[in-house]
Amino acid sequence: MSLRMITACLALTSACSVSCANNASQADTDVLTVGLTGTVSTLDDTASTSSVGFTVTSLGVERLMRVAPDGKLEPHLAKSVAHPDATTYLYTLRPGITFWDGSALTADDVAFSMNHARRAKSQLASFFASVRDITADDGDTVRVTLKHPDASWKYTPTLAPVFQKAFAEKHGDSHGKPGVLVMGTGPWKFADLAATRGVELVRNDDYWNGRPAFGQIKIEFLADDTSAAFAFRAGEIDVAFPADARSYESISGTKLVSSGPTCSSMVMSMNTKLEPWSDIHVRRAVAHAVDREGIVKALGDDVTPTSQLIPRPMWDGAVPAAEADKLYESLPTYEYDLDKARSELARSAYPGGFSATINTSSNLTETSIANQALAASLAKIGIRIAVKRVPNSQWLKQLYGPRADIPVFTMPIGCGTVPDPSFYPGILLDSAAATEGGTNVADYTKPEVDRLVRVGLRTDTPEKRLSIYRDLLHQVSEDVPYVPLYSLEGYVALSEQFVWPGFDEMYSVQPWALSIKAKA
Amino acid sequence: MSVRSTAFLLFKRLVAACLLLAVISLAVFSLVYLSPGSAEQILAGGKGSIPPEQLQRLRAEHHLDEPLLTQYWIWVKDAVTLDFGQSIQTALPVTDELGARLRVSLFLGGYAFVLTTVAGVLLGLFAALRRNSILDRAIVASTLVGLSAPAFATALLLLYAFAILVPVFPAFGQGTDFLDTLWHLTLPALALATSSTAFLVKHTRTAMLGVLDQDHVVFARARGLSITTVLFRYVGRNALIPITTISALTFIQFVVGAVLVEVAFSLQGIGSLLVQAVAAKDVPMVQGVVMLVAVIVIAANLVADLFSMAVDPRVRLGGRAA
Repeated sequence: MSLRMITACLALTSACSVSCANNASQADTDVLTVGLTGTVSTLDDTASTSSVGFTVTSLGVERLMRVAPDGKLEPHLAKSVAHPDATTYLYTLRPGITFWDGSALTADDVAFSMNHARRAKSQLASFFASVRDITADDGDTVRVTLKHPDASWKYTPTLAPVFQKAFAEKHGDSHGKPGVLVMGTGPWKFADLAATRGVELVRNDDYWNGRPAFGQIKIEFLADDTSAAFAFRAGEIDVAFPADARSYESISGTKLVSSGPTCSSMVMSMNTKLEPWSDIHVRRAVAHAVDREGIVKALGDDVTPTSQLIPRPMWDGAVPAAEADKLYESLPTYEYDLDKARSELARSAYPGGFSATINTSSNLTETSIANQALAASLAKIGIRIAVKRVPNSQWLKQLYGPRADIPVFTMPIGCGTVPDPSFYPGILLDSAAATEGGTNVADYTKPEVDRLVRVGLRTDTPEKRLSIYRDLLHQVSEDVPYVPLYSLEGYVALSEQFVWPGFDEMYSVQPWALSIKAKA
Repeated sequence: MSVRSTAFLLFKRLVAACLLLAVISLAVFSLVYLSPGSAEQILAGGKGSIPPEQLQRLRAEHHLDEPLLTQYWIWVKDAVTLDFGQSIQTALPVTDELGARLRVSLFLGGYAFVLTTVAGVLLGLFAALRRNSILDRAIVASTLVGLSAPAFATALLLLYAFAILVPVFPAFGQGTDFLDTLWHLTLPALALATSSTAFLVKHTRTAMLGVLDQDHVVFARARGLSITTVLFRYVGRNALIPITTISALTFIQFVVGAVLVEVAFSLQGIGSLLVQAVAAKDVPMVQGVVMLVAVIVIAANLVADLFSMAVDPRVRLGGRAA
């Protein structure tokens, strides 16, 4: 009896597996299957805390502006932008854009969406801190008035999703949730959202910018990079965005496509209030002893060293390339020089060196390798660093909590969606962030630096900004609260039948699947 | 007589279960107050400063101005109607999330349980019947391997073997209809079942050997009863008693403690939900999951008790038949 049952069971399972496996193995380029590590429980980004939220919603919901691969801002749903005075921005909509239900996109929808993203409960509210009000001027113009000039404002319209006002108002708090979804203008329409499984999208045949290639996009929620790599290797997903490139490559057996150097970077911080790091000669000695080439080599030559706290790509959209190059050539740098490092250390209160610990989050394998290389180069001048791995939650607690125990960190900083020169100074140098829970991990405070941080944010004349940030970078070079190590890259894994020309790390706020093509 | 006493015993068990649930619910409710920080901070997701209007809303939503016992009463009334409030992380009702996760966890737990029981009992039986034969030694040796293989390692091995080398099963996901789910959950269920099966084989083998050597079995065989009758009526029934006792624990462990296997196969089950909720200090979600787990534990134990009453008259008759 029992045996017969088992046999029947096995027969059932194998019958299904054979037929289903056959379906999966058919090379189907009309359907794109994406594996994301994380889950999404609402398609309204203003209510979402998901780390993959934007990547999912951008396929269906669009923005007024976008950041092009060369770093320049481009109109997207907008046709043009006017900036008549320092605190006013006028966005004129592209004509002929319709929502999935056929109704036309109006300035009223856009103004509503931006105010929706600005409301107190919104996860995006902090991007709207300098806004006085946002109104619809007429049928196709949206007027944004700021309280004071804000150089980073221009990137906010690349983030705020544009929804249909009527649909959002009708559904209130349920807007974006499974069963209700959202109404957008994008190349794919949301067909299903299952918070525990994934998302399904179907082609919007009336898309304003040409017919999208894929008839269907399936997004599968996966537990972690390892699961994604297994699924990729088994041929069950076509696209993945791994965070830890090396372990993904070894498990999945594929070579990842890299974005090249981005404005995100790996930065070492030294606490300016805690001994022995509070000694300026110690910090300068470290800056001279860091062997960036050695770290890059340890990471398999996959990254590019950086020597300034504001990475060069940050200026791509802000000033002409030649001007930015001129500035970066004139900036002081700490070259790798052990003699200089030793003589700086000799001038400090710790001429014989000292011991310290660097903790690495268990989530970051690559950082751990970089830390080992860093420790090796500092050991040469007598600073003995023990590299430890701790659970991610503990690491974050040490990073943001009272920083009494661990005065030195290496941390990956994602410039994310605001590629403006004001980004790094705002989070790392502002004394307002040198508190418990704040992002100024070096606890660096200096009134002159604070002044430059504020002026830099509130100035939008390119020449003036160049000179403000030149002064700021000189200050950083003088005091060395942070040592930039190398530029981080974005990665995508693509199955055999697809290519993604010009992949860049700004994909998550654009209808990115439009860039993926079937191999000829 | 027997029916009445069975009914009485069942009634006693149900009352005890309800009391236990009440005690657990009190502990679960107190989570908000036992965690470090004010209740408002906990309910706002552990954030330091809360804007006044949100504070007002939180106090009203969670009846924080009422006396403690009234708060508990309101919470229990909601909990009885399966309303545990909103998750702090996702702002969705806790019950929705539990419902979505329970299906896959129960299916996976049930599947692994069936695999464990069928394979464990059959292999244990064969080993006991062919004591000291090559078959017995092979089975006992393989249980050692099974017992020492952690579920997550088995999961990765199975993934590599049956999703990549010989791709007959999917590498992730939980399926839609019954057959699809069965197909998707086969590898996770095997990974979960491996070490428990090994445990059950040893357990069954020992129980069987104990019974096989007893005089009444020898006598039954001497009377010329067929081997099937002896096995099912005399040996099997006696051997089932210790097996039943551990099966409730096994099932509970499969449903609630499968978090590593869930992660390996990207399944969104109860185990990973609890881990995520605790990591994110999502108190309403933790309360919901813990209450659900308590109900599953109590129900599984009750079913196991009823089952052992059915097989063992001594339990049914309160020891009078012994």
